[in-house]
Amino acid sequence: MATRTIQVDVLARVEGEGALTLVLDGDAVVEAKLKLFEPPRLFEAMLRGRACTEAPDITARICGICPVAYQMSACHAVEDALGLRVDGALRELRRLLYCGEWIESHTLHMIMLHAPDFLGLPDAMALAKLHPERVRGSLRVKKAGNAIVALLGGREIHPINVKIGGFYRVPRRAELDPLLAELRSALGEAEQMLDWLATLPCPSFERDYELVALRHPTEYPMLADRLVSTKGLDIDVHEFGDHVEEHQVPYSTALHARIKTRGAYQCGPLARFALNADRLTPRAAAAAARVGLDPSCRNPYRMLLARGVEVIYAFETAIEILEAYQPPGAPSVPVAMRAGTGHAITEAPRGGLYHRYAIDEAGIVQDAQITPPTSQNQRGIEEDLLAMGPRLASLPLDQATRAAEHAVRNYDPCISCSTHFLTLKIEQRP
Amino acid sequence: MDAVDAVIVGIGQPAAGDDGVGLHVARTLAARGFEVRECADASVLLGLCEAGRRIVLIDAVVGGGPPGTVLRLDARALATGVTAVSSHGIGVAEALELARALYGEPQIAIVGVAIDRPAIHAFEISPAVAAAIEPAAALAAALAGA
Repeated sequence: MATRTIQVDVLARVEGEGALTLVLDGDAVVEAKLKLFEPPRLFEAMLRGRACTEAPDITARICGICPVAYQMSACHAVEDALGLRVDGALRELRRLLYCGEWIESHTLHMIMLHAPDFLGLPDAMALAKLHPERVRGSLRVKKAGNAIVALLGGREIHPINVKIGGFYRVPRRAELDPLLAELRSALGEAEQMLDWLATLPCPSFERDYELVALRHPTEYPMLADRLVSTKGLDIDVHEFGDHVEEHQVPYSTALHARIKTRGAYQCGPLARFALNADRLTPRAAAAAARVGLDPSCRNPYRMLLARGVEVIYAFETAIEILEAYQPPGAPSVPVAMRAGTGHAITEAPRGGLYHRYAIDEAGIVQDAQITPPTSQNQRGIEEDLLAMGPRLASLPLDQATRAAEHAVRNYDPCISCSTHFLTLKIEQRP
Repeated sequence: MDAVDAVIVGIGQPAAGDDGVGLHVARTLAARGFEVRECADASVLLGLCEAGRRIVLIDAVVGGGPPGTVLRLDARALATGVTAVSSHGIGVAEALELARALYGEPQIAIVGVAIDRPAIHAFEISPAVAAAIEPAAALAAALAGA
């Protein structure tokens, strides 16, 4: 039996640079390597010797798509080390900022990067020509998310208003009213966007994943202290390192993360939805029911719909926060330095983002660990491709290549974040 | 410049030497009262096209002749890759093609300034390209209807 190799030298429609090699032997995929060759970023080393107050702005530079996630995880981990708790209106403003990032990142991925796969189209340009009204609507949805980040963060990309303890400046009540009107209008468009996405043909594929996400007592999670899974994990985020280990693979600049006792796991929208659907806001819950998305879903292609549900959740949450907003007495709480180690996980659009900082009594970072969601999802993506062997083997090479790329994009991998990403190579053994 | 309804868009990377010439031209016109946007990529064009704005775009062009040559580029030819490739050529061409699919034919005039190549981590521009700022600004102002 001949082996075939599917090789994608540069994966398109992903954030960053990576490649994919699949080796097929008969109808089995015997080897799947997601090669992330984005250069190593070395941020963990760069943080050593810097003031802990610099961590949110330094780590935000890891990613232009999810800088808010980096700022939120960095703030919460440093505040944990300093024994600081940010609550009330300041915490609500942080959730509001995160809503903006979920909306812009998810919408960009759903429409411009992922939807073309479901329709067999080469790119977003082809989608825009075929469904211009859908693309126009989605750009208005994304723009509303950008508007949140710009208003609260000072600018749309790499916001500059977040600090340890809160914000540099908080908005006045009157500043928020035009935004509120834009969000109410875009919420309806987000619902139409999801309903349309649910009509796209979706491959049937399921695996018995261990899905991992934060869990909050009352909220669908962005900021929370407990990490839970569909296979019984229920830990405080301080225990992350006791249960999850990272290891290097020779073909990738990204580390692979796995649960020590069980192996690969998945985080992201499908995991959050599976574990927290009971915490959704009313219109998001109704939208999930309308498109038939159930917490028992283990089809990674349906992550497209989970993202759409989360966009609706983010709009409802943002509107709720804005309607109730009363400016806090001060834009931040006082920060006093002390030695300690702090941990935090916040839910980036692609999944849980773990930060750990050890700081000395002067507040200087002695050690830092950053475990992004794409590192956590990387091995699971490879396992998806291994499990898809018979289907990929039955297809001509060009179709198999497109199918494999489609499967990788389920996870919206952020390669520049994880490098520690894509070109596809499928090898068929002789 | 209240009588001018066009918006000037300068595209460039300020840390890439001559690649930033579009920004310099835009600043020159901002000082003369024009409405100006400075940006590092072409995504700003989508919002302006959605709003139905008339646009005069200034960008650096590689392969457009000796450095400092001021060119008027055709938006449609840019999209089909017939003209010289600007250092942002794909970005601008893609943004305009997407805008065309979504919002109809963009109302845009494009001024190119020929450069040799972008530099790495250099904020200065070369004398030959610097000498093109004023002629490029004059052409852009005329295209804007001033």
